[in-house]
Amino acid sequence: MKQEGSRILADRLVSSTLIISLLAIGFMLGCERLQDSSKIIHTPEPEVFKVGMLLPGSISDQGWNALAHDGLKAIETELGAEISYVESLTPADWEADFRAYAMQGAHLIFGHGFEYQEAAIAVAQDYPKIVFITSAGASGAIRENVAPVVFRLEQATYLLGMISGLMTQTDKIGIIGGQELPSGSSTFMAFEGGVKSVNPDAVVQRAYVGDWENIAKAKELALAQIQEGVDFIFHNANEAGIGVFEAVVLAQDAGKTVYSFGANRDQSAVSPHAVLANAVITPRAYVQLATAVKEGTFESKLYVFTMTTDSAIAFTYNPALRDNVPEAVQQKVEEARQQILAGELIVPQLDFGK
Amino acid sequence: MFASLLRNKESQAKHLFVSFIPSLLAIVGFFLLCGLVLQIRGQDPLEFYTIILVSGFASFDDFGYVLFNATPLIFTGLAVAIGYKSGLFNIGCEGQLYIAAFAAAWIGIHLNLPPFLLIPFCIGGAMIAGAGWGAIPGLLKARYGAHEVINTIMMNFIAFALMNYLVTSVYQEPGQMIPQTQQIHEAARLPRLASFLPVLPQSNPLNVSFLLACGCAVCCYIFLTYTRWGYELRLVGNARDAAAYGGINPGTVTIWVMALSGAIAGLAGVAEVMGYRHRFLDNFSSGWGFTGIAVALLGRNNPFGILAAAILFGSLNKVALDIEILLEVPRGLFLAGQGMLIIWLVSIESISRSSKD
Repeated sequence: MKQEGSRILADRLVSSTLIISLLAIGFMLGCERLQDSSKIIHTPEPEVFKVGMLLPGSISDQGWNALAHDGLKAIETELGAEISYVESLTPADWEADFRAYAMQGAHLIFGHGFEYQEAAIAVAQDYPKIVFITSAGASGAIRENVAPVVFRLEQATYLLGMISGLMTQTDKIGIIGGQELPSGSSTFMAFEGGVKSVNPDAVVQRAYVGDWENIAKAKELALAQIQEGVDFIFHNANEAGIGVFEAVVLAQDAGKTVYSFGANRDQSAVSPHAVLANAVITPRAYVQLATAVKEGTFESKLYVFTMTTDSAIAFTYNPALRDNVPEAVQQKVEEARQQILAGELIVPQLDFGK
Repeated sequence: MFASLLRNKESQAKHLFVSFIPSLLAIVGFFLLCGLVLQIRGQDPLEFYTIILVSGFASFDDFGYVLFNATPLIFTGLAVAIGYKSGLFNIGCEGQLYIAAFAAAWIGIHLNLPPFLLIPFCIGGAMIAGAGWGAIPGLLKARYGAHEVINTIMMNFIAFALMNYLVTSVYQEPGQMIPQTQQIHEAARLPRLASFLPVLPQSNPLNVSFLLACGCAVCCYIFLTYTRWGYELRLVGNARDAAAYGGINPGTVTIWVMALSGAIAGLAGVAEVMGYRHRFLDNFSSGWGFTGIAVALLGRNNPFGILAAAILFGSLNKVALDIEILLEVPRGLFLAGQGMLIIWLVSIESISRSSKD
């Protein structure tokens, strides 16, 4: 009998806790909904321009993802847009994330990486009114509402190459890449072109990390290059590039005159003693694209951004180290920059993205 | 209150309700925990609760997405439950659904038949492939006593590696860097429900495979409750020795149960390939096979409970994305929360069992 009594007690306890908690949640929800609906009735919000973005990595990578986030922020401040981003890492997430933004009523969704192209095309069919833009895409991806974007860093990396070619003491210059992809190789080709244009005797050596995150491995590769006498290193390895800066600082501490450059984003602040100058994708590119979509002037085509397209790509010095670059070198680089902007100097680069 | 009301009713109904109490408690606990975490993060938990409701149930479009997310989980949940009823723990659903999905894609690409032939061929082929992959650990268990938990896990790894190989080197779509096959024939595609239901917008990916999943749940219920095989299956699960004494060969039952479980798990792959993506993409499943275990647990291994649990998880998956977008709360919170939910469920269950004893 006693056991039966305690079971009834337990039953009551369980069901009453359950009911109370359900009621509590229901009550809270009810209040919130009420507030919500009153908001909707009294102040109809004007249609806000909504922009979403899928990123292949963390926005704290100081490179590829960080620059996209900068661009998104610029869209927020300049166009008054409502912005949001997600880290979309696995293939299973890509389409789902595009769809989630579409469901939230986004007007423009960026997929910041070549890998998002197919997923964007698939989802774009279902949402013809939303514009999908994929970075580093190919013209094969052009659809009614899908446009690939290519950032051409080459003109800026050519100028970085010139600086290294003019300033090197050892005639040995290093390049460290993430993975061997056409977009990266093309920036290296331009960099080498810049080196050779002023110093035909210089030897340029390339090494690849194998991924875009392995800072330790990039550091080792850079140290090995410095050991061989390299005194200028250009990286295009995203987050792994931080390892290059670490190696350069280490060599500087040991009394060597070694420098490196920032790629994709102005990395002067990342390593103020190691980064001499930068080849930068500026937020302008994103603002231009978003403005076009907002104002209805968007066209489905391959968008190519270079230094000549409203400074979407830029060449910048690290202000802290600018004095270390001899006046004569700065002058030569500036002349070349003007020639590029005037269309008189065509930088060597790979033809891809077609 | 509820308990006393129910005591006057049929005891069976009460038993059913009581058996779901741990599930309900775990769900409530899950939501309260998520709200607490948000409170600690300095965000408004009320906003979160609103999003939960609005995210999945504000419109037919939203609910369509919930059911779309739920579809593969219904299949994997049923697959796990079928095994569980027979005392087998099938952790290999993930591998089985990949193998089956690939089989469906292969048939859908290579056979050129009219829809009324090609669709059954694809589904049948996928089920056979999943059944075969599931039967191997069943056979090893029946013949050599090798534990099915270990073997199904290992079979997963073999399946992942095999799929990765096939889709990157043999069947990769030409000219693509993404590890995926080309698209299956139009004739092998399951239509979207939006083409019959005007309330759903054309953009909604909910498709006929959801109806297949509901049908599958009903079939599983009938199979388990009213057929001789279902009886054998449950008997082996509840009293293996008694079953053997009664003339049932537990080894044989083990093999066909694992095969059946694999075949049902394989239907999750069918839903993906024939209903949604229309191709095989490497790593397409975000752990459906494993979530299926949680779904089966939450649904008390009852086919209709599984249906409800899968829909709950489907809405959670949608909410997870929406809170990441709207509140900048990483979806990892929900994954952790789902883990907690299962731990609570198991604990509440064992506590209530020990208090009854």
